[in-house]
Amino acid sequence: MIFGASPVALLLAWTVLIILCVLFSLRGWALMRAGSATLGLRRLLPSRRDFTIRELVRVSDDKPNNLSVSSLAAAFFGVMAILSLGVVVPLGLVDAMVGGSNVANLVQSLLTVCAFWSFRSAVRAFVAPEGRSYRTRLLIVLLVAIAVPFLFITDRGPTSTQFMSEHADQLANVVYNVVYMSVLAWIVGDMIWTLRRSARSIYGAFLVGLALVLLSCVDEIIYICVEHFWPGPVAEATYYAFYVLFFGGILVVAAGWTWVLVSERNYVGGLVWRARSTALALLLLRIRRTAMRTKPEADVIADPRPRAAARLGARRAPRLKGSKYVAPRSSLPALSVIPTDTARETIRTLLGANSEDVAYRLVVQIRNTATRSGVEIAGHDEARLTRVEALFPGFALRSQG
Amino acid sequence: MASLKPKKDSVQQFDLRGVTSFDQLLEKVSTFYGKPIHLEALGEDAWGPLTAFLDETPEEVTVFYRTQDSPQYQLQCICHEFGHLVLGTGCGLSIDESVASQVEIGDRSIRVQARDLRDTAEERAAEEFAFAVIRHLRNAGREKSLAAVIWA
Repeated sequence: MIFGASPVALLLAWTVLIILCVLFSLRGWALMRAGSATLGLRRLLPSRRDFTIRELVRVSDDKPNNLSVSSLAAAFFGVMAILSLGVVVPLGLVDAMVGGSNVANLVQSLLTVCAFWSFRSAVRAFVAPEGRSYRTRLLIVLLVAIAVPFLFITDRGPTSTQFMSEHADQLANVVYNVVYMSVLAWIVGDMIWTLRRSARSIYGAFLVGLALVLLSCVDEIIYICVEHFWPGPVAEATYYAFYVLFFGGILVVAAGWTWVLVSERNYVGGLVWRARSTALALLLLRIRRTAMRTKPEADVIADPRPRAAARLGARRAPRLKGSKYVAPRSSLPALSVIPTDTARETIRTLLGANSEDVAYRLVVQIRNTATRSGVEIAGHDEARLTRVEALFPGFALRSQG
Repeated sequence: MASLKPKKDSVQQFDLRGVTSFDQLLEKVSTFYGKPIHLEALGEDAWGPLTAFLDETPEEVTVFYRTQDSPQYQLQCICHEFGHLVLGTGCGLSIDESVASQVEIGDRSIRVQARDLRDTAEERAAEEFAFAVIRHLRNAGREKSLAAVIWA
């Protein structure tokens, strides 16, 4: 058994599996969160269905959906590929599930290619979005090119973790492995080429990891050729080197990916924003309590329209008629910008959403509540709101534009 | 309140790509809606629970906002009104009755709508639009983070 013969490879595989599972879970959680908020426009729009703001407003300059789906797919295929190695579930069971006769080996190969293809798509979408992109049709052609020689391998069963070396005498097996490794090497080489000019230091880790994977592909091609034509100690050395190079490379890439996640997501800054949000939430509660006790007075009229009147000439512009307006009872709820249907939904929003957005929404909610109820915001509380607002664009943006 | 009729036959996506400033946003909304949009500050005390309102004539749209608000809250309120225009809510010949008690309608007004802080579906939708736009404007000036793009 390969992992029995190489505990280092087994340890590496487990480590990579755990990291990929964490990344996959985080990505899946982010996608679930993104699609949850609908706008309740069913009654108003002709198509009679609700929409999310992401459906109606396209706000990003790049292709975040492609990128997100690619990164999620890379983690998914990576996890499946490692599971199909027999690390968690016995290989015999995996093989039986896909038809037996070592078809699991082919499935491993195809999943690995899909994982690297998706990872490459994510990297290209971020680093070089304007560059050429390969179509999914090409991936299908490559998968077929790998599968066809495998089908020509005779006497494939029974299930074995050393399928490749046990069938090294067959030319079809050599072709299968050479094609598989060449495809992998091309994808990895393309990623290295894409990342080579980037100045960001974190890509150095990716480059080292990818270079190791590329080396492992070359090593595997050498191994299968040597094993087929000149079996001996050289072949055995390259056989074991593959697993260390391959899983070592993936481990470096996955570790780099995790480092990106930890460092660039700014978790410490996120905690500071959560603390600010907590203080703002308490302020909001305080203002609501004050609003419940306060009975607002009717507003007083004043004459508006300084510029509108000049622009519209003799034509009468709209104007506020405060004398006829009676302020509503202060207990009426203000427009809610944070879900308040259930406490659970509110807590989920406060904890799950982007920490800066939550703070900003709370500031807007506080101002809404104060305006609706006519409550004055104290000077020190106003300063707290201003500090948060200072980090967001204001209407002065117009004159800077 | 007059019935709310959708402005367009089908939902059209509002594309903010390339928009990095408020002036560009104003132009984009104006083009999308098909009428010039003017902004007007009112510095009086009679706003009550209103924070902004729009007045539409056959030729143009004017968005009124409060001078006493912070620049960020002004932008939120203005973008909220833009949200009504883009999402096509409350369009047509409609004068919101809650606004009618507070706003004296102009000679040629065909529609007046306000951010009067009522908690309704269309108000929430316009508010979500404003949040999305402000988030976009904020992120437009930031360096893209690999993690933010991929994982956020």
